[in-house]
Amino acid sequence: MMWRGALSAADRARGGWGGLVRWVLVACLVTAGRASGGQDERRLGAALRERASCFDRVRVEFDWVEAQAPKKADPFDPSNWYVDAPAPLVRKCSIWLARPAFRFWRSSPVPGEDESVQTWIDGKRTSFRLERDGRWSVYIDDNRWAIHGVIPYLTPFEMQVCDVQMSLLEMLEAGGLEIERWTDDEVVLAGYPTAQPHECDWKVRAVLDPRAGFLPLELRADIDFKNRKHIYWTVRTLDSVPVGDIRIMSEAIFALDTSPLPKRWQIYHYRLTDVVRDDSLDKEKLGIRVPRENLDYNDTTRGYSYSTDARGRIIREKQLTPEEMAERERALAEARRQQMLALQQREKRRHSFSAIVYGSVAVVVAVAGLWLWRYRARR
Amino acid sequence: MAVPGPTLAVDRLITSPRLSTAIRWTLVAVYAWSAGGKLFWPARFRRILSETGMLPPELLTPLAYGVPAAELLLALALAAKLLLPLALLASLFLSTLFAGIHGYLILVGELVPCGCSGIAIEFSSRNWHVFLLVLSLAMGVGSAGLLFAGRQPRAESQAVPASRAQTTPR
Repeated sequence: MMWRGALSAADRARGGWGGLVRWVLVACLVTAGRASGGQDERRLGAALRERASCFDRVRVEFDWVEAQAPKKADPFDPSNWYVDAPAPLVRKCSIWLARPAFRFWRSSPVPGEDESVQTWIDGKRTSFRLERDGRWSVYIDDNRWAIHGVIPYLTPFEMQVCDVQMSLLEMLEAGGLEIERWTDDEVVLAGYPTAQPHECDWKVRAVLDPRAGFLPLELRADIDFKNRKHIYWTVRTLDSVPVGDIRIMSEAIFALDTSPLPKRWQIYHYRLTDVVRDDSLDKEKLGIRVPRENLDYNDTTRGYSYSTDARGRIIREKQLTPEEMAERERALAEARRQQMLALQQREKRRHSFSAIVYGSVAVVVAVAGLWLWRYRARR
Repeated sequence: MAVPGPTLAVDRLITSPRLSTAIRWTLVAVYAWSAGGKLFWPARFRRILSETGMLPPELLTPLAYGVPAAELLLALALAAKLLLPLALLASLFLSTLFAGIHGYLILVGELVPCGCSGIAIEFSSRNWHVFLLVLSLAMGVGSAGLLFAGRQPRAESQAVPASRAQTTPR
């Protein structure tokens, strides 16, 4: 044990220098320990990046079953799910991945709710659907979250965690997650990432299987909303299939304990039905072919909208003026600025809290020192 | 041989045992009152802590339980005079911390319920924070005062007053 020898040598040093050297050595060891931790994180980051590249240019089809379970029951046991009223909703879904672009198709088992096709290409969301009046609707904006909303469709494809628009890799690289444990069987990540779209505190924990290309075995997110209740969200992988050099989730259960359903678990059961690797898949192929007839088209990113009749003739057209576009951009920029400001303010407050704690410790140390000095002086 | 130490104003302020006892029991009462509500409703106190926006999320749950537990232990230690110097230093730390937090909240104009005087009191106003700031500072000064007053040199405390020595018959 070299460090023990070094500490003993420091102890043998004369006067107060021995203690100082000892503390310096301890500080060096702590720093070295932290540095090796950083090395593990870089190693894991590289592995997850490689995983993401394997998890690309594929078409996957899956069933998405929505169910509920009593709060006191185990949500991961399907025998506890409500199977009669309300009946489990089964949606057929497909995703074409050409990261970071993707195309998402979702059927709807709900009467009155239409199928929808949405794409995310070059930072733009395109939503395409057949409305109930028989007209096609195309809506374009830059809000990725609107594709999946609060339903974590993209989690099995490791493009998000819960309903936040960040993957584990992004959270790790942003310093929001740290490696808690790394063994041959599992790698445990945990932390408090700063995540969008909610301005709240997130606590995320992930258990990965290093033998299966770092397949997530379990993900947990605890979302602390200000003035509202918590959301506890867990996904557990039940089965996996190989894709290239890695394994991906083929069956998983999502359990959500949230405030709208305080006495029930909201359950999502993900079942992969097909996975096809297609190296020719790229973002050009993911685009939607828009029909010319009976179309309502609204591109909010360009401020342009029009409608066509059954013959494809334009019956309404509107282009926002540069002033109107600028006004819209200003409003969006202001909203983003406010959001960033709120996050910065929170960080500033946390730093202030640390300063207050250190200040209080300093006051106590000073008073204790003075008290000891007086006590010794008078004894 | 006892060496006469420096004399602070605080020595002269808190030499009366009655005053020391009154300060100690006031601290006991404030800590016991503060701990009471929080211990029964830790989830509510956690939410209050979260609303201040000052605490990192990993500290919310430990503090929601730890602060009232510490306050209760402090109240018990002060009441029973157990480990009194340590209890007084802990009290000084908590008081300074609370004063710092109230001062900061007043400074940034963020008037949120703090749960300091028990979570039953959830209203918040500038005056309320100012009151709690003054109370915390007073508690800090009181704790420090008791700390110094409680360690009078044995030679002094056991010395017979000169006036009484003269009147004592031989």
